[in-house]
Amino acid sequence: MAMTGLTGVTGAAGATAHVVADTERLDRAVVAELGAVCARAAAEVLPWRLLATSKPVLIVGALNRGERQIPAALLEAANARGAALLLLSDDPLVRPVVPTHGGRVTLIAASASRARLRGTIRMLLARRGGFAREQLHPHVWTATFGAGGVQAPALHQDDDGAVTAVFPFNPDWSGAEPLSVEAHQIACASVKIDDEERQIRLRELFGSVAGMVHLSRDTLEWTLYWPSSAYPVLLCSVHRLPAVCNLAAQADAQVLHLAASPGDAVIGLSSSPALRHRGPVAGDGGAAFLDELEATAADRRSVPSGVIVEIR
Amino acid sequence: MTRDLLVIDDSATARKLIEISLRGRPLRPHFAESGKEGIRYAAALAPSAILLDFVLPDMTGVDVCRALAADARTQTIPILVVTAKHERTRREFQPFPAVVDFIPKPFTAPDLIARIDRAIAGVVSGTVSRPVEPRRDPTERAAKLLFTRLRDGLALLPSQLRALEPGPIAPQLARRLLTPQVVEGILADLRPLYDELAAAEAPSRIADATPAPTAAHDPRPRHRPVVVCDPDVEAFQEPLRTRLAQRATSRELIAVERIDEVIGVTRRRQPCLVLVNATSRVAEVCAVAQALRADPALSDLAMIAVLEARVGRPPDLLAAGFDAVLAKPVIVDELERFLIPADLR
Repeated sequence: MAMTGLTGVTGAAGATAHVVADTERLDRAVVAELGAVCARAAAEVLPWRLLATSKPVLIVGALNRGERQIPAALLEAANARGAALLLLSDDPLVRPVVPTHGGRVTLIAASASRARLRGTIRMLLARRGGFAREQLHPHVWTATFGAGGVQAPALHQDDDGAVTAVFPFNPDWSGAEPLSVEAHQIACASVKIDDEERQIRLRELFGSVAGMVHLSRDTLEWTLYWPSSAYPVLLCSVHRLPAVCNLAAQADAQVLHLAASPGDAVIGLSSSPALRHRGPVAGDGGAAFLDELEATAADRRSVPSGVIVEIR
Repeated sequence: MTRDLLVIDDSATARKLIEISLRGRPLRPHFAESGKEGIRYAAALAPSAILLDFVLPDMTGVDVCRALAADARTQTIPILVVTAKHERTRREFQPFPAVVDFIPKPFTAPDLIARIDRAIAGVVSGTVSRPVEPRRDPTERAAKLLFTRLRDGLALLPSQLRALEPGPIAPQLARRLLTPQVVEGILADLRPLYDELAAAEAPSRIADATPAPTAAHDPRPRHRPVVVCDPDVEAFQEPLRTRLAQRATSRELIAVERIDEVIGVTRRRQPCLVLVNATSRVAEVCAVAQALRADPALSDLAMIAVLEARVGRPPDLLAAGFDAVLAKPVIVDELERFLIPADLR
C-alpha cells in the first residue's frame, strides 16, 4: 500500500505515537487528512498490515452502508492494544460525530465536512505533539491555547467529569491556575448555595480580572461568569439557533445558566477572531475552530489566547 | 434432495440469521460477502437459487443482477432480493426476469423458507413468474416501518446501556433512541398509513383535508405554518426557516416584524406554533399571549417565548400562557418537541 504523504514525524520527546489505518477500506482523501493531522501530533500513520509490529493509540477504519457491527478485526486490535477507534460511517448518523462505548469508539458520518474530520482526528490525538494543551475525556474535549506565558487560561476537571475553565482578562494576572480549584468548588456547590451567593463568591474571587466557564458533571448545564464584554465567549453548535452566539454581551457580571447539549462548544477568546467563515467553522466543532484560528494567524504568536470546552 | 443456495450479503448478522433459518432444511447455504464474490460463486456453483442483499459494499443488487443476466451460466438462476425498501426496489429490478421475489426485512424463518421453496419449485416446474406482492395489513406495515426507523438505535443499544449512568433508565434510553430526527422520520413514514386508514373510515374527512393547491409540487405532507417574531433575522429567523424546509414535513415560516401584528397573523393563518422573542418587551409579549389564549379557535396553538440567557425565565410569561420559555441560543431539539406533536394533528 502506497503511503504517499504519510511520512511520520517523531515528536520532540522521542517516542512516536502510532496510528493504524485500515487503508484498504478508507478513501484516499481521508487517509491524506489523517496523515496531515498526525504529522502535527508527532504521530506516524501505519497501514493495517503493520498492525502486529505497532502499539497504536488510535485505529481508523470504516463502516460500510448497512454495517451495524464494528468489524471483528478492528475490535480485536483496539481491545488488545487499548487504542481508541475512529470509524467513518457510510450511513447517515443522528449527529455528524457520535461517540460510543464511553467515548472510546467515535463514529463520524461520511457527510461530515473535511474540517470536522480533521477536528475529530485532532481531538482523538489530544496531548500529543502540537496538541499538548488539549485533553480528551469520555464526554468532553478541552483545549487552552495562545502565546506562552500570556493570559494562560487554566482548566480544572474532577473525577466526576465536571470541568471549570478560568480565563484571565489581565495579561499579568497569574491567579487562574491557583484559583481554578476554588472556582470549581463554587460552581459545583449547586445544592449548598443559591445563585446570588455564587455570584458574590465568584465576584470576590475574580472581580473583573477573569471569567469562568463551568460544565456540570452530567454535562447538562453550562454556568458562566464573564464580567467583560471586551472578551468574546462564544457558544457554538450546529444544533442551536443561532449557531454561534457571543454570550459576553449577555453575561455582564451575572452568573448565567444555560442548558447544555451534545455538540456544544464554549470558546473563550482574548480577541474577536477574524475568521473568514466563522459560523460554519464553529459548527464543525471546537477543534475545527482552533484549526482555522491557527491557519489564519500570521504566526503562532499571533493566535489569540483562549480556552475551549466541548461536549462530545 | 439437498439444493445449493447462494447468499450474497455483507452483513454477518444477516448471514447468521439465514444460516440459522435454513438449519434442518434440504438447503445448503454458501455465502459471499460482496457482489463480485457472489457473481464468481454463482458461475462456479450454479446454485438452485440466490438470496441477494440490495446494498453491498462494492456494488448494488441491481449491478449483480445485471452481471448474472449477462452470463449464460447464471442468467436463469432465480434470485430473491432481500430489502428494506420494498416498493422502490421492485421497480429497479423490473428488467431482470430472474428476480422472482422480494423478501422484506425483517423476515421470519418460515416466510424465508416458503419463498425460497416457491422460487426453486417455480424453476423446476418451469413456471417461474414474478409473484404479485400481497398488500400488507397497515398494522404490519406500520410495525415494519417502526422497526426500520429504530434499527440503527437498537443496534447501538448494548453500548448505550454500558454508557448510561445510574438513574432512571427509561427516560435516558428514550433520550438516546427517540431523537427528534428519528421521531420525525417515524411520523413521516406513518402519515400515509394514517391517511389510508382515515380514507377507508371517513372519506369525507379526507376531502376536507386536501392540501391547498400551492402544495401540489411538494410531495411531503404539508402542515400548519410557524409564526416567528424575532428581530434577529440573519442568525435566528433565516436558519430556522432553512431547518423547517429540511424537515420531512413541509411547514412554512411566517415572519412577523412587529409584536402587535402577531395576533392578527395568527388568527388569519392558524399556525401550529408561535415563537416570540420576549427580550426587553416581556409585558407586551404577555399581553399578546393572553389574547391568543383567550381565543377558542386557537385552542391547540403552541406558544414559545425566546429570551436572551441573561433575562432568566420570568414567571409572567408562563402565567400568560406560553408553553415554554427558551434561552438563546435555542437548542433545536427543544423546538422539535413542539413541532412533532403538531405533525400528528
